[in-house]
Amino acid sequence: MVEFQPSIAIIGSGPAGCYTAQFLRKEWPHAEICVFEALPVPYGLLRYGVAADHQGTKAVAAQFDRLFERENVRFAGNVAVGKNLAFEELASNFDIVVLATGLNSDRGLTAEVDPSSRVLGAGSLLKALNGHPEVDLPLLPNGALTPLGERLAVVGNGNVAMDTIRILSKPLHNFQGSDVDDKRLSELRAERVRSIDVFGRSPISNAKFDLSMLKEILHLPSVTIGVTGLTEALEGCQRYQLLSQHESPASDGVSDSRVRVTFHFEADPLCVSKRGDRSLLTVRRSTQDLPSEFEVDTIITATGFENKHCEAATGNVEDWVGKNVFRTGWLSRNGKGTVAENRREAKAVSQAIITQFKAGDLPVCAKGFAAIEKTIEPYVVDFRGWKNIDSHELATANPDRCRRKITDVPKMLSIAAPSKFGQQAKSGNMIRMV
Amino acid sequence: MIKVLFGTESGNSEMAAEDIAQYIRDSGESAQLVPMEDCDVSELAGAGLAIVITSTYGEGELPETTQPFYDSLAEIRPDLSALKFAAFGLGDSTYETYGNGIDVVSALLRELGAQQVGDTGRHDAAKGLALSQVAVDWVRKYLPELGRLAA
Ligand SMILES: Cc1cc2nc3c(=O)[nH]c(=O)nc-3n(C[C@H](O)[C@H](O)[C@H](O)COP(=O)(O)OP(=O)(O)OC[C@H]3O[C@@H](n4cnc5c(N)ncnc54)[C@H](O)[C@@H]3O)c2cc1C
Ligand SMILES: Cc1cc2nc3c(=O)[nH]c(=O)nc-3n(C[C@H](O)[C@H](O)[C@H](O)COP(=O)(O)O)c2cc1C
Repeated sequence: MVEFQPSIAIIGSGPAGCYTAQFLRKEWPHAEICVFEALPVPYGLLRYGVAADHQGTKAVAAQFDRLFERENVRFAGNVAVGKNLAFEELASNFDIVVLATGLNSDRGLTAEVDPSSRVLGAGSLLKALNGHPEVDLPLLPNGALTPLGERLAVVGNGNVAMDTIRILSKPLHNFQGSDVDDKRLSELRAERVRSIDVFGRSPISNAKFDLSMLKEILHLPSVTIGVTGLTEALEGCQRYQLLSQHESPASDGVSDSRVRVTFHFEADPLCVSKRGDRSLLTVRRSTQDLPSEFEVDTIITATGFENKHCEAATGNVEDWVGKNVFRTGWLSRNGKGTVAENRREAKAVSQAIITQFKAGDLPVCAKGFAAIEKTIEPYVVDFRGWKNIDSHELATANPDRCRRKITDVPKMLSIAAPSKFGQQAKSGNMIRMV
Repeated sequence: MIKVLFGTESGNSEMAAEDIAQYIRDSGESAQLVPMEDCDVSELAGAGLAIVITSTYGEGELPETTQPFYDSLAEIRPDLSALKFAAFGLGDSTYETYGNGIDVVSALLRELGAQQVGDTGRHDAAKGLALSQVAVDWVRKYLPELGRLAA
């Protein structure tokens, strides 16, 4: 007798959704598994978060390709659940639903911010540089991205902050082998970046960045380093040893063409106001009685991620609940953790699903994909459609680049399935993702 | 029977192990996939022939499922003089400690008496070459020898 195998819908094709598909497939070789993705292209922040010059990290995509190419997991791209397919319709037609939709926005600052000052999220910035079709950054009247300016502040001390610093201070000719969006990068860096002041609330010993991320910045030929806020000597702490030799803010070398990157530890932003054309960041520092002011062109916040439902055309995932509904990835972990941590959690969530299913705690016998096929038919891009986009992106890469991403959804659609979407697909089917 | 042991953090080593095991089977030998976290190190000597695969994390450290395997080998110190193994490592050459993980594990296996067959294979994620291809090309080179040893 063949064991009954459930029908499974996974919402979101980022690492969390794909790892979950992987573990559930191992348990149930014949179950129907479908991964729904709002964009025509898969893999979430593996494609749009992980920095364009860290291609090695993106290589896990080969595992996920295999799911769709060989292991009979279905990719339903360009289907935003909550917009193109009601959550209720989905949840009533699949035995098991896994929400792996991630988080859509930068968290920003808790400090008081004058709305006319220039503050943007590191997630939005890195998404843009990764060629995301939705750009949530200020534009010039001619449609180009507004240059970030010469003096920048980065708030946050995690790896996303380190990615931001590296990408904004690395020589433009040093992006070989990446798939950075060159046009956007040169627009954002149209004015030569002279300084980046980096603010972290914690002491250096608790700063969240990985040592290897710091070393990468220290090794850039194009930067000089400065440090403030080292309140205690920490023998045996490698980051302390690497940074303490640079104590005191990096010298303001006007003649120096390098970017001066100054790490301020134990520095907490109090407020952001406007001064002339610039933004004024006021910071409380453990080493000083009075708050310090930093006048910069742009403040970039790398303070974590959250879901802003008011901005999502897909409704509020918090309302997506049910006995057969599970959550994983950044959605369940509040935007924390690396790609590999999603694998660990996906394994645990899959185990919980399997246990509940086997105990008879979950409903069974939903109709599965066939029941919703008609609803999504006008939109859906299958895995072959994505492979068409992928081949196109690889084939049109500029010299020294591994890929050139297509940055608008209508063009993606017309390359994915020309006969279905025609050459002039409308851009109405875009949801606000960032 | 060739045991294909893998330790991983983001799953790449598992994929390499699956492809290597599949290639061995397609070539007419038998292969068994063993996640390192499920491996009883006191039975390792009896395996006769193993392919050992691991990635590298942190600053040249072992990935999460290799670490406990390594720790129990180091603690129990089984006599592995009856074990022959081939080694394949995953890493990323943008890190200073490129591919350190497999070297650390191989060194301990040799210290415990195991004999390494062939050169350590390596996949560099920064190079953009497909992992499957690199892994299978590597095992193809050594399979005749491994097959002879397994017989
Ligand atoms: C800038 C940045 C850099 C990073 N760099 C690294 C790194 O170098 N190394 C590392 O290990 N980790 C890195 N990370 C972390 C890593 O990206 C995350 O751990 C991981 O992507 C989280 O996976 P997820 O699947 O939960 O979410 P996501 O990757 O965000 O995937 C969610 C997916 O769900 C889709 N979706 C959302 N709503 C809907 C809907 N209603 N219907 C259908 N689909 C929907 C989205 O389009 C998206 O594709 C980085 C993160 C960021 C932001
Ligand atoms: C946080 C982190 C640290 C890493 N450190 C190293 C390292 O020190 N040396 C190295 O060669 N590779 C390093 N890597 C690269 C991995 O070994 C490589 O991506 C490998 O393919 C992962 O295989 P796995 O999925 O089996 O764990 C690191 C990767 C990450 C995400």
